[in-house]
Amino acid sequence: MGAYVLRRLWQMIPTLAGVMLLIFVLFNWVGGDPALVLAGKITNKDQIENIRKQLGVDQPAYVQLGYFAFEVATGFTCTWKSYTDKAEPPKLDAKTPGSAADSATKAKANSGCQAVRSWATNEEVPKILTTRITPTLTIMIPVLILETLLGVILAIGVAYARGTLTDRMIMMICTVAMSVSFLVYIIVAQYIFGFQLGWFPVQGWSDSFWKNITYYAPLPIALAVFVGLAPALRLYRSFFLDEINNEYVRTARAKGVPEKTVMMKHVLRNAMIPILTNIGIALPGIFVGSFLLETFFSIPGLGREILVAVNRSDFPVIKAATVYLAMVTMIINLLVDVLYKAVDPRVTFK
Amino acid sequence: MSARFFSAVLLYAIAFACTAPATLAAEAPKKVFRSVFLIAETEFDPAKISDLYSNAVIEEILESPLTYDMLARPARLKPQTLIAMPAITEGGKVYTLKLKPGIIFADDPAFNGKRRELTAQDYVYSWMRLLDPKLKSPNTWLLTGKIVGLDAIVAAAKTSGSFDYDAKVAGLEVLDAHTLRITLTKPDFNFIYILAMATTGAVAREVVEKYGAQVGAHPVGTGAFLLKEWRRSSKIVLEKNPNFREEFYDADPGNDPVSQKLAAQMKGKRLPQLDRVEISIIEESQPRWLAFLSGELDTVKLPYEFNSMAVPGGKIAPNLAKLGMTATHEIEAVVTYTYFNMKDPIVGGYTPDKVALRRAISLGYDTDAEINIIRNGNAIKAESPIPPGVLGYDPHFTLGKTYDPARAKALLDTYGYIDRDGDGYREMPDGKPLIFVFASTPVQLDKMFLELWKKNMDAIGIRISPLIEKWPDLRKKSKLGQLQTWALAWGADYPDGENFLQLLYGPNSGSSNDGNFSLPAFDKLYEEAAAIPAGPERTKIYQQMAKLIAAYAPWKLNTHRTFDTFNQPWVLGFRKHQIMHDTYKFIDIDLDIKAQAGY
Repeated sequence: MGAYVLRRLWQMIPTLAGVMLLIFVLFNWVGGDPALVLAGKITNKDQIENIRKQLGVDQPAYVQLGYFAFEVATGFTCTWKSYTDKAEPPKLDAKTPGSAADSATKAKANSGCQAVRSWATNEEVPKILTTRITPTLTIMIPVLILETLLGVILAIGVAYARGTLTDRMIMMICTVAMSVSFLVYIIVAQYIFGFQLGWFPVQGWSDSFWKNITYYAPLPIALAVFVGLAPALRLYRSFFLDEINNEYVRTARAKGVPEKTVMMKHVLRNAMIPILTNIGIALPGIFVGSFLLETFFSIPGLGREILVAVNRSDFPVIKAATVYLAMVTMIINLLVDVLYKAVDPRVTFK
Repeated sequence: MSARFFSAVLLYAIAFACTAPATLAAEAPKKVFRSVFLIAETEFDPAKISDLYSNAVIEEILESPLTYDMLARPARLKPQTLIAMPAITEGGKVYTLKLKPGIIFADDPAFNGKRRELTAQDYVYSWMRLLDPKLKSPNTWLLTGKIVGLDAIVAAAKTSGSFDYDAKVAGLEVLDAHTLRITLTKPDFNFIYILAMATTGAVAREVVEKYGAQVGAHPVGTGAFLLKEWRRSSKIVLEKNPNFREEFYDADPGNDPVSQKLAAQMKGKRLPQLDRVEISIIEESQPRWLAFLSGELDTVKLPYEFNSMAVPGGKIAPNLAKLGMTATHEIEAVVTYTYFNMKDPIVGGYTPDKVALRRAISLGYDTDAEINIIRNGNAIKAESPIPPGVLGYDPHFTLGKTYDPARAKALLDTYGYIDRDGDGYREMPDGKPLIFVFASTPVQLDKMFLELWKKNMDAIGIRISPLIEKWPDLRKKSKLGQLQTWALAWGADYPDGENFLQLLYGPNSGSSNDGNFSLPAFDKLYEEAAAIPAGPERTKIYQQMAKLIAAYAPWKLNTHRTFDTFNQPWVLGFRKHQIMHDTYKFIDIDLDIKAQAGY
């Protein structure tokens, strides 16, 4: 297994390089000119040129790609242009007071390097990712857990009662629920439960995890679970039905194995493999959050931040978020593959 | 064991429930104003920001030499850190500023425990920062080419790689600690407005040097408030600056009854009255409006989607009025327009046939429909580029009938734009296709504009071809002169018509003049106007310029936006200023009314 994991980790490098190349092409050649966005309302050619020079976007494409690769690898950006101009490299953070992030910055200060910063807000990009991920996970982890648990429990029950009125009613409700946009649920629920009934705050977030999870997060979590449950339930039901119709289940029943054991031990365990695959596919999503939920409930999470960055052409943030998501996806895929082994002993690593 | 554990938890919970409210009540500031931003701020370094909301925050923390009278309409300048208005001499070329002595910066570790007084040198340093090439400031336009000797220092910085902040600038003379003489490269009576912009507020060099690249997170100024907490893109908390000087409310309400009421509420009060300001960032309209209705916010700019519910027929809805909420209707100092690229082979040019085409397109577009259907009534039709309340606005100037499809068709027929191949769409006089390329972004609002334009252009036989791209991409193309047309909006940086007319000044092509309009007669008038002080003579020139715009039709003038601000019944003194942002310094909270309302 160790060799397998090592090989998979090794394979991540060319994949990541491909992702980076794609991002680079998309943003550097197709995207808008960040200098024009940063230049403000009234611009002139000198100013635009100066901004391009400061950002390094006036350099040849291969040089910019090199900068990008260096930034991804180290999290730092260096004053390359100053060196080529034979000017003294500025020691930008030599006097910056000491947060933890700043200490790391100081280490590179003497070489004229600093942490990659947002072009729009000047905030360090690693700090953006680390601070915005907490609200996102505060919402998305409970959503994933609840959605999976409820989905599996309900799906196994519905699959067991296949063809009954209950099964058909639940499937019909699921179809209707899936036909309505998430946005509609958000707008209606916010109005009814937040404003009219006052059960939840309309929007907001605080610095306290406890207050967030108990006061601000319940409504967005409930909404995301409710919306995600219908497709999950339908999908998991089909996984359970596939297993229930297998001959080993008929054999077990013929042997007189109790129905509870058949369902919970044989059917559930085998159905968990496709369920796990499905969770694996959905898992990277929890690390970027739902921009709709975050925007409507004013949750300062990563999804909302990415949306803002796109609107501002804030390339360092967009690039970092994309690379981060690619890495998370690859790591999660690896973890899911390893988990298959735990769920199904027949799985072997090659 | 578990029983003991649960008992302990229960006791702790009861103890917390009993003590927490009392503790919070004791610590809570008395007067808290809860406001909202529609878009996330960026940072608070005046050299780095150009967005509305970051400006709104630094305006409360930093102080520029001048400010505006809170209530005077049209907007009127008044001294902020100065003893009196600047002395303008040598025909608008020299400005002498005398600072009030004893203005102290908010405390900061950068000052090593000493009280730090504001000096003339602080303004010199702060303004030099705006031009430091390394800072990539979006505010260079405020000073570039305007102050004697400053451009040379910028040029030297570009060569050497570092900006010499200790260099003597001939045009920025510190005569003594409280006197600054500014010498401009040429007479400019509008320079006085630059002295009232939030981004020309004073920062202390020690603070900038202490925080370095992170100074945008540590704004320290002499204003009425200081930055207490900042959760980026989520919440900004300001608190009263204990070092703020003794200053009392003084505003001229004129004859406006709303302003008179606000002036009466605030008369004689020491500023600021608020202890704390909490600003939430709520991008979506529904949660913003519901947060206001449920008492989570003290003020809100009414989202236009709720117009018919909140202000039916232009009056506050009875259910909201019953709760004591107040609403004020304002016209934004903004013009929305659709420019034609004068270098475009189809719509550009100054010959009669090209002018006729642009006028026909303009006459074919129904601005009233835009106002009523798309903007929900939240705008008035623009007759000139200068909005009401801005110096140079002429309420009697009119373009006449601006929507007249029959006249548009007649104009097109007269100049040979006719349908030659019978497909229902007109061709150019030389038989080539006439395609009106309309740039638009993929957002819902722009889709509505596009639909209206298509419907209107179809009606006069002009084929519209949408160019749908993201805003930054369109901006890039616009600045490079690659768009045929695009709808834009311009908000006033200062309340003078020049700020709008410069959008059509020839030398500004490729900068703020996206349509590349270049008419010598217009440019000459623009330059003449800049050299004379505000007054009837200058207003007359602005009106001549507006007539040239009407004649050559480089823009389809669309609207001046309007909006309603809603306040909770306990909010005193607040009315959106035309140029300044949220003006927390002039707001008060009536705690008795708030308590009676159950908040």
